[in-house]
Amino acid sequence: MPAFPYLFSNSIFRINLTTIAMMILTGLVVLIVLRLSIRKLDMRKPRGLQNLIEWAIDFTANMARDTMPSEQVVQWILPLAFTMMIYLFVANWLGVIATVAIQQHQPIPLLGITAASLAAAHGEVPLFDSPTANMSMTLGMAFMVWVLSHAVGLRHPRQYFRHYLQNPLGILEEFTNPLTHGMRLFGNIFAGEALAGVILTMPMLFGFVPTGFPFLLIWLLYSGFVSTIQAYVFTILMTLYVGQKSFVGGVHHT
Amino acid sequence: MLTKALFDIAVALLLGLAAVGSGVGDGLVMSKYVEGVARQPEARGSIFASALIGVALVEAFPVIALAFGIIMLFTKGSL
Repeated sequence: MPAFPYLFSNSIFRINLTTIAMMILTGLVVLIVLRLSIRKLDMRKPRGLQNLIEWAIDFTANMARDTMPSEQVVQWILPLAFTMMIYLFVANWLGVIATVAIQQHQPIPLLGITAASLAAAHGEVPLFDSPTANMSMTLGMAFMVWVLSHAVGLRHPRQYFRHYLQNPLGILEEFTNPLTHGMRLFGNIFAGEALAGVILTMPMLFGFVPTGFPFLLIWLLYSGFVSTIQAYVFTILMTLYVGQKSFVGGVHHT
Repeated sequence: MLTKALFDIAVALLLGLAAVGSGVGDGLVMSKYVEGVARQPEARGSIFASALIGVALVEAFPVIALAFGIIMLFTKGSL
């Protein structure tokens, strides 16, 4: 496993600096792209980037309407769903576009890069990869969605508790849903990056003919496709989980 | 040495069974997709979108097993 630079590396609250930097970078990219799209705002004839972003918002609203009980909740969750989809799209694609790692042979104890971790990683310290290739990040987002869904549900406590009294096996779903929600995204993105790394270590024919190049190309295309689909699946499951617990308008779910 | 070899065998079993699960699940989803398109060829686009989402949901657990297998291969097995 690559030797990431950590802060507070001896405690259980260690912070992966590469992932944090990549999350901030993704946020900046999303912010800049969305700000650029409203530059020449034209309400009657949208063109260019503004047209693309408006299509994306319509797409997200239609997707949310399938899974949520009423139009009011759709309008409430639309900013979060749209931001989540764009953010995860950029975050997943960052690993497809580039993965940068440096060879480090001196241990840096201040950043938690010890001699043992360098030996296990063959000296590889990654500096640029997908933030979603980190289990903590995806599980953290799944936990956030879980807390959000319960907070929305507790606004109507009578229906919230009646839902659990009617089927007590719903308690099991409270554990498996966030777990698979986060781990699905982590598994897809991490496996894509790890396999790309393994293909890159393929030996070249006669020393200079790149035999791994077609494999790498095909795998990167597939990885890009999977990145888009997984961003969409994460967002639609988020709207589903929040919508199942939002009893707005007195709508009953089975 | 033996521990590394045993972990290699464990990773191979894990990835193999994950591939079996993934293959069976994807095959079921895609066979229903092809049947649906054969019944109504105009609905091809919307059914294709649902088929792809179905594949992403079915492949959740096999791909989690794949991620764990890769982690085990790099930390406890050879490589």
